[in-house]
Amino acid sequence: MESARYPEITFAGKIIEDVDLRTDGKYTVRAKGKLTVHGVTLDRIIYADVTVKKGIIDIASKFNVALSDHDIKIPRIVNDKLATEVFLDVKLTLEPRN
Amino acid sequence: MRHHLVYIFALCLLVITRASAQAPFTRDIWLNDANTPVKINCLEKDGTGFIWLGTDEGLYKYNGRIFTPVATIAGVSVTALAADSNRLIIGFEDGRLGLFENEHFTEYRLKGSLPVESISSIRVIKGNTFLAATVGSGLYAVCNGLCRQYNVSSGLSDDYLYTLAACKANTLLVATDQGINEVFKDRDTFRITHYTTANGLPDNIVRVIRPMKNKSLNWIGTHQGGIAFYCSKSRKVWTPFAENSWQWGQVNDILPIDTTRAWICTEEGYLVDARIDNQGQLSYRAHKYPQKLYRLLMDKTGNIWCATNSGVKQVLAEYISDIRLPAPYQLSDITAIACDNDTELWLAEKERLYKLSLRDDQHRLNLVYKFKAPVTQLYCQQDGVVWAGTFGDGLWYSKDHRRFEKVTNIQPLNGESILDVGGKADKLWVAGLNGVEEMKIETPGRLKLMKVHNKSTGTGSDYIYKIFTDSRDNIWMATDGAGVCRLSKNGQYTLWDSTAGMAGNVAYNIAEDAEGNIWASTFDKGLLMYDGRRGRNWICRPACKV
Repeated sequence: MESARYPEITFAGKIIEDVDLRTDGKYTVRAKGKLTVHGVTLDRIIYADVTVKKGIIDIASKFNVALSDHDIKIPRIVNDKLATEVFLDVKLTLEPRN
Repeated sequence: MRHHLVYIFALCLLVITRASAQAPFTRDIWLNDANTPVKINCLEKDGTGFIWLGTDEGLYKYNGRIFTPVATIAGVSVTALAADSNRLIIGFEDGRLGLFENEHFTEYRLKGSLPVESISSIRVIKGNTFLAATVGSGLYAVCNGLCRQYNVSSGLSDDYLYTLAACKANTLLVATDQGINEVFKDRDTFRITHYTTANGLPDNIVRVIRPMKNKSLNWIGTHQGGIAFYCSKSRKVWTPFAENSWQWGQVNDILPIDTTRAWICTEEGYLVDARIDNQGQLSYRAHKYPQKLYRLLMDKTGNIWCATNSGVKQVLAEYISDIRLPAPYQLSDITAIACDNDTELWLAEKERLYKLSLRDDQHRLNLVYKFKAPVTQLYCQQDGVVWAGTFGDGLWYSKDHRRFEKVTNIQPLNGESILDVGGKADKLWVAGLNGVEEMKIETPGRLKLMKVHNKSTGTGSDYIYKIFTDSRDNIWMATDGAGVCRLSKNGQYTLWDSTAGMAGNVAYNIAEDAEGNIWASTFDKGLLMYDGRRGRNWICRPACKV
C-alpha cells in the first residue's frame, strides 16, 4: 500500500438519488465520484445507507477496491496469502456546525 | 435536493471470492506475447474493417491476425474512439483529443473551453465538427479547431456523460447520471428534454444508449435497473416487462443485432443475450465470465468482440451456435451430416437418415429414409440433389428429398464402402476403399465415370478419407498411409508424405482458408498448413492440436 507515500484514501462525489437530507428518515443512495487510492483516481459509484435524525446524518457504506485497479502490487512472496480486492467498511457521522 | 459529500476513509482487509461459470464459444485474446492484462476501454471498426482498441496502454490496431500498438500520447489511456471514413478521432483520459489519419497521429490544438476530464464518447457530426462527452464536465462541441462546452448550466441534467447516440435529424441522445437528455439543435440554440425515473426509466444512471437497426427504438442500459427503451417517434421511455428480472449488474454496453435481439455486457462480467417477443416482452440468457466486460463490437464477419479489463474476448455466438438434438438422439451417434441450400440439416444415425430444419427452434428430427447399410457420408449439391454414401452398399441419391435411389451404372461403386463424397459444378468425386471415382453429373442423379484414381495411378494410397476441391480447382486427397495428395488440373499427382516434407502419413481432413492456404488435420501430428500462394512446404501449427 505504501501508506507512508500515500497516507490518504479519498472519495469526492455527489449523491445520485434525489433525497432531502433535511428530513428525518433512512435512505439508500448511490454516491458517484472519484475514489483515490494509492495515488490512482477512479470514477466509482458507491452505495451508502444514510440515516437522518434531528439534523445528524449517519452514513454507512461497504464496498470493494480491486488492488490492480489502483496499481497496488502484491509482493510475489505473499501472492497467495493476500486478497486481490480489499473490502472497505465506512461509518461517518455528520453534525451541524455550531 | 442534491448534496455534495467528501469522505475520508480507513482501510480494512477481507478476502473476497468470486464465482464464475463457463460460457460457450468465446476466446480470450491477449494484446501482447507476455499475456500481461491490458484494460480495453473502447472498440471501434473503420471502413476497411480494421478494429481499433483504446486501452490503458494507448491505441492498438487489429488486422485480423495481430495487434499493433499505435503511437499517440505517451502514458495516457485512450478512452473513446470514433471512426469517420478514413479518420479516427481519439479521446484520452485527461480530456485531450487527437486524430489518426494517413497512418499519422496528430493531437488537436483546440481553442476555447477545453475538456479536462476523461472523454467517454465521441460522435462525428460532419467534416471537422464532432461532439465529445466527458465524465464530469459535460459535452464539448468541436468545430474547425474551436471547442465549446455545454454542461448543467447550459441545460444538461448532469455533467457525467457516458454515451452519445444520434436519434433523428438534428437530435442527439445523451446518457447521463441524471437520466437521458434529448438534445435538439434548432439553428444556433439547443432544446434539451430530460427523461428520468419519473418518465419511466428504471434508473437515473443511464450508462448506454444504442439505436436499434432500422427502427426508431433505442436500447437503454442503466446502472442498476437493467434495460429500458426510448422511442424517438413517440418520445417516450419505458421499462419492458421481462421474463426474469434484471440481476446482472451495471450495463456497460449493448450491441443490437436486429429488431428483436441484442447482446448486453456488464461490469460484473455477464454477457446477456436479450430477446424481444411479439408482445414486446424481454427474455434474458446470461453467461458469466471472470472479467469485467466494457464494450461490444461486431466485425464484418459476424464475430463479436468484447473489451475486458484484461484484453479482448472474441465471442462467436452470432457465427456459431449449438444445436441440441432432442432426446433420445445424441450427436455422438451421428455418422454423417450435411446442410442443403434450404437450410435443412441432413443427419444420418447409422442406417436412418433424418432431416432437421434450422428454422425450427425445437430442432425436431424427421425420418426421411432408412437404408440397408450405415450411412457414412452425405453431400448436398447446389441443384438440390442429396447424395448418401453407405458402408458396403454403394452410393445413393435423392432428387425430391423423400425417396433415395441407388447408383447402379457405375460398376466400381456397387457394394463399395464410401469414405467421402464431394464435388464442384458438374463433377462428383467419391472415395471408397478402392480409390476415388471421378464422375461427371450428366443430369440430376445421372453419373458418368470419367476416371478412377488409386494407388496404381498415383494417389499413393487406395484409402482416401477426404477429397477437397480448392479455389484453383486442384483436387486434394487426405490419405491413409501416403499423407496428402494433390491432383492438379493437368492431371499430375503431387504427394506429400513423411519422406517428402509432411509430418506423418495419415491425414483425415483438408480445408482451404481465405488466403488460399491448405490445411490438413492429421492422425498424430496436429494441424498442418501448406502455403498455397508461395508453394511452401507443410508446416505444423503447434497451437492447434487436432
